Amino acid sequence: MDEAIPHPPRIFIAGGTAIHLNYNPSHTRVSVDDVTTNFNIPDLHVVLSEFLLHDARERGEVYGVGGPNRRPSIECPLILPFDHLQLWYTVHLQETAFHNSSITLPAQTIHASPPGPGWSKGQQETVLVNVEGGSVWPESGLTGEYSFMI
Amino acid sequence: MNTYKSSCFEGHAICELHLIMCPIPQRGSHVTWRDQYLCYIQVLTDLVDPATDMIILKHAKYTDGTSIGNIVPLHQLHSFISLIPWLGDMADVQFTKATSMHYSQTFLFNKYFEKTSIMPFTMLHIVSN
Repeated sequence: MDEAIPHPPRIFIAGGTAIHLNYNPSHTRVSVDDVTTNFNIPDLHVVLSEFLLHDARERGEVYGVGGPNRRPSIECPLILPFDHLQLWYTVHLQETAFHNSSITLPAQTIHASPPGPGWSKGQQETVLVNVEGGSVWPESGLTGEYSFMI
Repeated sequence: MNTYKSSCFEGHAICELHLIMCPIPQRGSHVTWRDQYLCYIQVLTDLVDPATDMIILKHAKYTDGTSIGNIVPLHQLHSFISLIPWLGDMADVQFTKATSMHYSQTFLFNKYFEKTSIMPFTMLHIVSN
């Protein structure tokens, strides 16, 4: 494979949103343990292994978010099939206008970075995440009555 | 597993993005998962204040009080959401422009930030009620 072409592709389209990562990651090789500490995510190991288990069972599914009522134990983490991660501190999202799909809206840059100069607690911005297969707005339309108790 | 869904955004959840990553497979290993970018997110739950019709958001928590985090593939991200920290009667003195989102417990959804793509979601809420 040509080394110049990254895999997976840095630009792709999903559910009407174009997603773009920079060609070069912000960090090319960081251990999972270092990421856990730098980003202050103590349950990273656990949720990654749960995701991989889920992914092996239900490939191609849209993943829900949430979890059990009790926090998963971080005392005895499961073994991951990798030790190191590539990281990106920004992602760019771009959509088309709701009422006219031929109009492309400006790209939005979303930050997810660890504590650093000027950002003592890091940057964690808020996004809308698709959590239900078949609910690709606006095609899903007004699909019936919708109510959810929290 | 509970699946948190927004009550105002059909089939979607509002989440705080903490980490964007791509695992590097070990040399010679047969990785059994699909090659894709992953995100660590924390989930926010929303409800509508009936008096003001504003959408109020809080972190979803485990019973021990820690925020619920999870992994989702990057391709499930849809768009940026603008939130405003709820300062209450008196703003916390430790808030700065860099930390107010971190220390805040409650947020307001800024529905005036972007009207062309997010507004239809909030209109759905009005229609279904």
